[in-house]
Amino acid sequence: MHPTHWGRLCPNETPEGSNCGLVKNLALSACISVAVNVEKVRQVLYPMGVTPAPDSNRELRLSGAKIFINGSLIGHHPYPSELVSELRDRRRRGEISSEINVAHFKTMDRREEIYVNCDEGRVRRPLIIVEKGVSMLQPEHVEKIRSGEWSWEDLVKNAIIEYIDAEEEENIYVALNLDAISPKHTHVELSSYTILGICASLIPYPEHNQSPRNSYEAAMAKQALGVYTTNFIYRVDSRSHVLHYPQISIVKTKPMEILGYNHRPSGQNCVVAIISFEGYNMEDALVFNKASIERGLGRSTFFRIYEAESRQYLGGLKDRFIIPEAGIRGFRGEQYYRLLESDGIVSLEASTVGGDVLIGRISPPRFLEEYKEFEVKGPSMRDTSVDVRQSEAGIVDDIFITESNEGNKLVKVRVRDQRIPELGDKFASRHGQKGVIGMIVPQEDMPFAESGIVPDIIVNPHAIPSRMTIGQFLESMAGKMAAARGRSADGTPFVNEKSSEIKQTLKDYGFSHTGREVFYSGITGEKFVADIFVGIVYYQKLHHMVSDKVHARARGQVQMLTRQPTEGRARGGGLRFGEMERDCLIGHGAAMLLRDRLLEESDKYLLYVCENCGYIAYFDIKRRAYVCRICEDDAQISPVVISYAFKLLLQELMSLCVAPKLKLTERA
Amino acid sequence: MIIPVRCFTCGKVIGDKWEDFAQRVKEGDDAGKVLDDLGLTRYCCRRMLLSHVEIIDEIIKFYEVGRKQQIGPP
Repeated sequence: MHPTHWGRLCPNETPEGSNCGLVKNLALSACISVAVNVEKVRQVLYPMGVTPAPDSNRELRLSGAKIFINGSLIGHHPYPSELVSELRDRRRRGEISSEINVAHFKTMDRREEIYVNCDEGRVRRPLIIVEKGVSMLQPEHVEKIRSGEWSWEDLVKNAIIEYIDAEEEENIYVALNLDAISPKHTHVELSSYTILGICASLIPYPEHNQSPRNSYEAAMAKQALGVYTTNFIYRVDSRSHVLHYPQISIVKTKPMEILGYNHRPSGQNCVVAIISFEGYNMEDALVFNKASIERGLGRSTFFRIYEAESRQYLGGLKDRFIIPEAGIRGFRGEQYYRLLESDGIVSLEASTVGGDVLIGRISPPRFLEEYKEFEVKGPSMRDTSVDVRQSEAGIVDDIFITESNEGNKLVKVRVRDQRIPELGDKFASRHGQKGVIGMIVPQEDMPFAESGIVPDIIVNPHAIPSRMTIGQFLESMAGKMAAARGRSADGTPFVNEKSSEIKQTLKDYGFSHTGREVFYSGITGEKFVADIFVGIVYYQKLHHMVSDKVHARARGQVQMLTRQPTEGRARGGGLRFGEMERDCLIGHGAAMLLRDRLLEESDKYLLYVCENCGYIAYFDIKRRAYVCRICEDDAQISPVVISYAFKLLLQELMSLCVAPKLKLTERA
Repeated sequence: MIIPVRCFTCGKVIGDKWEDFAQRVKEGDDAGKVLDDLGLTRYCCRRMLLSHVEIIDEIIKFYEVGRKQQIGPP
């Protein structure tokens, strides 16, 4: 990070992994400059006493300051300090564009230089101007903004706020807040929490967390489910998620209100207890309350769009939407078409399962020209129906019938699936504490307090020490306090409700200032020796749900080229037994298992090789024998077991005019 | 979306209390006091009403428009 990132780029919001530091996010108050005409700026500077570069005499060039516009030297000026302050005054008065920034550099060893920047792409941030130790922003201005009389532009026009880019920031002295202003300061920060970007601004008490944890949350906030837009009924997004009962976090931050996060929240406030529970919340797993889930905690709906277009081909042939008949090539079986109505499209609210056809369509054969050669008339039509993805299921939510750009009939079917939280679904708090449901426990087995409080989520205490995410503890206590007093807590970075206030308010409402409560075991009924830390924490449901990932394959499709199992869950693929896994088996000495993994279960192939010349032999249908064309009668053909990928390699080498010969020896 | 019928954590019925709560808070009453008046003592029930957003009011407008124009979900 660079000091100029302060207020311009978010220090925490950057992806992990290969893109770390390369993909950056703008800070909240930052904005990008738009270009101003360079000529206009020149026409302003020359009358102010700048001598154009070719006209400057030797004396001026030695004693005066160099003036640059956008990095190009345009001239010299004898009194640089006056020029700079005059330019800045003109900008504040509005006589020159507010997009222009001026920086004045004077060092001992080189002459003074003035850089005037008016190009596009500079990241600038707003600061309140301070004159003679007094902030230009006064209570009457704040009143005007509050009443609506003044807007942001009025503040800039009246020289209360100005935008500073990275270069001009070298010449100013910024006070952190109004209390810190001294006569030497030239500007004061609007608010220190605007150094963060959008995602990092959602984190409560982030200054109490270890910094990488905030970065992880900044990435996960983008994966959280919520209500992405209220018109999702009418939208045809290829995949979308909607949370059933989103809640506003009761520990809020000030930027949340500005961002509109409180109108479209993406999580729920959960009662979270920190205790080891029966070993089911180890290694970051979470234990959930079964009753809470049954009452709606964490429920979401998943929508998917399936589309089909009835295209037109050359020769007047076209696709048709129809229930395919038994004779058609590629007919799947009558049961798969059972949900289709007479127009070939599935009926609304039909309950579908992987493999069921949603849109019945038949298409003319591809490559029709080839069939004209053979005397046999090619198969008439083939089934190109759209079916539900193999691993998914759902209810048909809505059907959109429209026309594509080319004028063909286009059908889109939206299928919805209710996702109730189950073992394996991923949840996370706002402090980088992600975890997967490890166990769903009935309410009666949950630890309980005398008041009747029972946790929704149980987090393992081992998740805390190495991660040092104290913000979660503060959020937990602040959440409990906020619910007790009936007013949201403020967790804004740097200007939040302090822990001492939280502790005092908790005591006022009858809770322990430590945030702990007396709990009894749900299973044995005995009081726990230690009081349990419990509070309200905002948890987000992330879109990594186990039903989208669970996958199994015993045998299935293979690829055409390599004859190896296909890749990817959607294609019924196998899991790769990669190089490192191979190394492990070698280390164990498990040779037969390796053979099994790499040959029997993958691309085992019997290749006939001529022992004489070492080339591949082929099966001659007429002679009903394997022959080698090179050594006709001397040929000695033997079968060899290899992987098909190896045979492919041999043929690829042959295509490069390299002759791979196989030397065979008798099996020992 | 719409106020859940019961508190997620303890199961106390809260669905019947939302209209009252929202109305009184809109009129300016202190939310903490309204929650006390409605009989919600445990903080698990209190957070249900305090943090709820009735997004369904915004979503339902699309259904109403659709019904008028005879498009969209019936």
